[in-house]
Amino acid sequence: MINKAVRLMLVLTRKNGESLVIGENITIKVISAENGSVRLGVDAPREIPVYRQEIYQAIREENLRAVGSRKNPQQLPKLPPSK
Amino acid sequence: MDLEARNLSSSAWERPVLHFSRGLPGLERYRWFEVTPVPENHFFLMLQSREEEAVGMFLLDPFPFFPGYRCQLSTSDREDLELDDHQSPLIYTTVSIWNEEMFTNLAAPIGINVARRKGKQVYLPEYSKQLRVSLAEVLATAAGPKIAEPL
Repeated sequence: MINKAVRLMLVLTRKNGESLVIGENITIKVISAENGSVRLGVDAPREIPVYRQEIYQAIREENLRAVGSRKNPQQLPKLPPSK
Repeated sequence: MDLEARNLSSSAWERPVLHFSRGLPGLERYRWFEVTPVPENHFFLMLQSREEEAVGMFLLDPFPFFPGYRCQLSTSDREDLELDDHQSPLIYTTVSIWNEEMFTNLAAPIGINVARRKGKQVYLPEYSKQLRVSLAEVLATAAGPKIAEPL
């Protein structure tokens, strides 16, 4: 029985200097791979955001908290100009 | 149209509407945001989606509160903001409120190029541990704001 929730991941092998193309206009190039780190170059159109996954998740969470906790401006603290 | 309505619409027209060409993480569907000052509270701005009224947040001018805070934008961030060579963007940080306590995100501030009407949430790796900094201490000690040291 096939579980439809499971999406198989495409796994490819690339050498230094080789690339992947996603869709028409996203290219991911392996710049170097050594000591367990892979250095990638991403060429994507301006409207496609590119983030490291864990950083994206953390920023996303903060943004959603900011939107979720927005208050009436009158409830903001009156801040003394601290110098 | 009565006079008041006309004034409102003309002042709305003058509010900068910024284009976030890459969106904001978690809010990618919204690309156009209006920036308005918070009346009588000039450390804050409202960032309000033009596409969805429920989507908005407060932004803070971080520099008076974190005097050591430095924003060095990458070349691609500067390109996205369409900044000229020596032009500096406006920098604001997002604000969240939890149990009456305010927090701000020093790791991913919002850069704004007013002239070009461009906005981008940038990422500063040197502040990666300061994604959620409490403002309680800073607000309590008006005399000595805490300095954000890069880790």
